[in-house]
Amino acid sequence: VTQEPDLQRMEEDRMTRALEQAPAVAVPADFAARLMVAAAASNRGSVAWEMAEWIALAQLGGIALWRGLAWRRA
Amino acid sequence: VEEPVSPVAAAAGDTRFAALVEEHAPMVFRTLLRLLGTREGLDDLAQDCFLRLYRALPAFRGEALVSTYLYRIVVNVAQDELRRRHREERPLTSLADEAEDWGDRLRHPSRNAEEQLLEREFAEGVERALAQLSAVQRAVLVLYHQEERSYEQIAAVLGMPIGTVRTHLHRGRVRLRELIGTGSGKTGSGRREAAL
Repeated sequence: VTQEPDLQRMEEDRMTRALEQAPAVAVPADFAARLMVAAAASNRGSVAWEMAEWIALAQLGGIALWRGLAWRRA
Repeated sequence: VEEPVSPVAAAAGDTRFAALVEEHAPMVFRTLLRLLGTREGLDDLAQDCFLRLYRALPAFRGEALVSTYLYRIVVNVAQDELRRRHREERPLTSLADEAEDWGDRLRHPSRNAEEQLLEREFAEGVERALAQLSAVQRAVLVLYHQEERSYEQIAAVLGMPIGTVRTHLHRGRVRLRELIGTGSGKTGSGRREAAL
């Protein structure tokens, strides 16, 4: 009477074991080194973008100031 | 989270980031591989995961949070990649096709060849079935069984209630069993099946 539930339980165990088995995969030896270079490049990109934003803001501020002074003179 | 990192914070975080890469790279690779079912582009995707973490790193204070966030990134990157491949209608190469690696995954290498073959075929069937589950069911099953994450951690990673995680886990296993269509079994004891 209990054979069928036992078999079902064994199948569940078998499936669980298969799920627990992580695939074999090796991290490439140079992965960390390549990643740090990419991260540094990404960071440089961010810095360059921030600088570009500040330059653009400064230019807009300058234009606004110049227009404001010109309007007052007029 | 994707805000640019200031140069000072980035410089200060480089050492910490390098340590995180060292510690978590194996997890990122194996989880991506299991979620995607193919080694194609794995390096680039793993790098993408860590770069996303790198940009977000200055906002983190606790290691547990970084770990949870990294799992979330991995799941998101895998799902984005699967959607991209689906759009391009590129069939995935099954992990099961990479026969040489499966020898390493057999738990009992000393068993006779027939038993090993049966186990390997079963494991291949599980991988094929896993690839047919919904993305969220697959993520829950992989995080729970392979990565041994708790319900709470999975809920945090996937941004869903714990009850929903349990439901996905249960339904995912039921669906997996249906897809595998198991007919004969071998004795053994799974680690976490009692919790289900």
